[in-house]
Amino acid sequence: MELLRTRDINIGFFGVQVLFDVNFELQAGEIHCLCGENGAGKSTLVKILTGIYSHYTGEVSIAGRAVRVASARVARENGVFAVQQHRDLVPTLSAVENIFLGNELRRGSMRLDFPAMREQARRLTGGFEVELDLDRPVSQLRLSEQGIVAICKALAADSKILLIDEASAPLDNTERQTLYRILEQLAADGKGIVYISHHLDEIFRIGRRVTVLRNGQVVTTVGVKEIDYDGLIAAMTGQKKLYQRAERAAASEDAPLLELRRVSNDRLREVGLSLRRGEILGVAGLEGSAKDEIARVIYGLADFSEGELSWDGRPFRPADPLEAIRGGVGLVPTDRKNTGLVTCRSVAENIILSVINKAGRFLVGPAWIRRVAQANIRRLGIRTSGAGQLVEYLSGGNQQKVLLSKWLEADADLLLLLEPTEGIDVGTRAELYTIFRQLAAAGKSLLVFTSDIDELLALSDRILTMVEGRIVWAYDAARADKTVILNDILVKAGRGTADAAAR
Amino acid sequence: MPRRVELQRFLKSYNMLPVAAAIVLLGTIINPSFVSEFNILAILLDSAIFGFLVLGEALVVITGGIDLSVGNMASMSSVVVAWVMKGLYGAVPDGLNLLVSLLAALALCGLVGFLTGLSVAGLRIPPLIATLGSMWIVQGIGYSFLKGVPTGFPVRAFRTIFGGSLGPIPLGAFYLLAASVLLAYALGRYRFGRWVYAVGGNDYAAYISGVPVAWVKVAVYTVSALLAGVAGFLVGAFASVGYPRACNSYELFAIAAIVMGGISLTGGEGDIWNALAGMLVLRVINKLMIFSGLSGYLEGMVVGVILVLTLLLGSLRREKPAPKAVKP
Repeated sequence: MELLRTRDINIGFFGVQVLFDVNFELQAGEIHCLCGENGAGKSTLVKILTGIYSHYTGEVSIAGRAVRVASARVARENGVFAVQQHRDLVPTLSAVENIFLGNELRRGSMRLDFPAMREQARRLTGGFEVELDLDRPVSQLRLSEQGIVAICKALAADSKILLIDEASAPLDNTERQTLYRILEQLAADGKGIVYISHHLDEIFRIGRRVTVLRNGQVVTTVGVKEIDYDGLIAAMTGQKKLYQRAERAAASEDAPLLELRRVSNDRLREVGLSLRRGEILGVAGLEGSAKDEIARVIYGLADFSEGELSWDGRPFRPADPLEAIRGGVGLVPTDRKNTGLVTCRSVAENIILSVINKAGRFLVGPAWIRRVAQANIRRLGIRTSGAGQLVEYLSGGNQQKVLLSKWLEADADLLLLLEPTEGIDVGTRAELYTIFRQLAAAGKSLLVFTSDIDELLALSDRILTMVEGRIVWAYDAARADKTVILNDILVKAGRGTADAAAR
Repeated sequence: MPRRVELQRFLKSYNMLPVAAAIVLLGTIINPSFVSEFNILAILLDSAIFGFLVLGEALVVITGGIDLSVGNMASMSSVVVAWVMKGLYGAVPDGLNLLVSLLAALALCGLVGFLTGLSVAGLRIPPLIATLGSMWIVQGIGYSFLKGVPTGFPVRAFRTIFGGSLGPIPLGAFYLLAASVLLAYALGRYRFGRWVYAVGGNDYAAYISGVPVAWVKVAVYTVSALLAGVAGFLVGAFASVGYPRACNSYELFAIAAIVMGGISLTGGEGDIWNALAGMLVLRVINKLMIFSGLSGYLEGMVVGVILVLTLLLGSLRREKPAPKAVKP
């Protein structure tokens, strides 16, 4: 049965056409993946279907009936519901309150039926096989738990069509498997699911059909069995290009730029590592592995109680980020929108933010700012309407380039990159990898923290695996094997590192 | 960038200026003698006093804070000047007396602003609470200096410098213009300005970019208090007395002016010229009502309605950013 169909959808903003004659169709009981690079129009289509952009032309029909999706309310009344990660949760309300927000269960006409809501919420979240404190404000939950709450909210609203936008991004592997199972269950129950993801693996894992968008147009809609990985990438990017491990000149043989010796604090256990100039060192670990704590220590955001940290042979213990920046460190954090960028300001202002502190520059006229910004926009190929464009309106990949520009401009010697390509499309990802390699070739040192093993294999010279605050093992990336690394970080988790010591 | 876009952007970002002009025009239509030398002088004098409060308030609000103490801070400033001046009168030459009393008032204002900033940045007291506290503290200080009795300024030069005028333009308006230009320059061209906007936009991102976030916050509360101190000089010279309730609840008008000027209370954006234009609108409305013989009691109501209407128009415009869909 056909649940949803769009016919010749067009939409534009400020005179710029974004979607061109988009035809899309969803069957009941189907998981239909939607993929495309950032800016391809996936999110725009979702926003049309959920009534956020109402000025489209063309026709949307839901369950065979033409519907003008003029508002979010119309969308919901027709059973269309979007799950946008943790974005539509109220951080101060509890999980129960969020799940039933606007859809509260009542006893009588006014009184809220909290026991019933809690009971039902427990049943919904119970499907995910995680212990979740339903009464705690969601701001205190982990990102992955917030994602689960967001999905449960859609389930509680009894939606027929679920539009799931990058929902798995904050989830770890186990939670992800559970999510897939739940989605398959929902599809088996006759719901239609539109699943948007940058992880192509997911598409092949759960999708029945996939629709690829490129530059606002539908390139193809095919069954996932009729297309392979390379075909999908070719459809998305319009070219046959996939990032591959590039031969790199060996890092210099000089003394290490950065060295950690048996560094411990309340999250790290005797961490040791060394990094030379021109080297890319990858750190693999799951969410609970405390790999980000290494970056926090180097960047002056966290202290250590034991061990030594040295920079260029001298002891280094920055008290705050400013000191680390002056020493030559730059940080590209996870969650770039909330922790890395001042999104309500322009590209140019974000780029110069670290330079002015490092250089002690006092006068920063608009002409100087513009010049610096434009040089970086050219250097990294940032796609923006100009240096004055607000960062808010850039795509994830271009936001990441803005963050990188900051540190290139501040001439940082060491870049700490935390999940540097999370939520970034394949094309831009390849571009970023090229940039990272060029930086290393120019003598910069890169420390990459990520849970994406393929990324580490493609990018780094050496790879460290990390479990519960400890470094488990070090690999030469050219000879490392994905399953061995996965085995380290997945299987060793919870088992301690006794056998690592035995190796 | 094409010129047309630049013009559009200018009109979009300075939407309070035409509103101010329209209201003056309206006043002239209601009563052609509205634009008289006397009225202009009165409006500009008023505007100069409020203007200094608006400048400081705007600075604080752009960093994502709010300052409720500016009104009482200005009152306290006028009181301190009067108290010191009266105490030193006859004992030291008038010029020295003037200098000492002005500096004493600024020093006290600056100190309170500094401590307020410290409690916001260091102790992480929410700005609303911290400045509510300092608002009452400075009111208490004002009362205790003069026991609530209005006191005059014996050094005549004080009234000439802060209450004088050049034709229809009060000297205070020139001071305000100078202060605004300086502040706009600092915000637009100095790294301090980049910091202020960055802190208001995302203070964590600013912190990990190496911005001394805490000191930026301390600085804006201090500067706001100092500017309020200057407003106190103007209000004192205008009223001829230092009086602890001289600028009672002025801070609310300052905040209203800022909001009308399009500065977001969540911080990170806005500029002072719009805030000043918003303030001018409020001042013209005030005089217009007095001039048209409407009850002064209604002023609050009118201001409230205009404030809400302004915000409504603003949010309507934001809600529908996208023009009609285009076909290729």
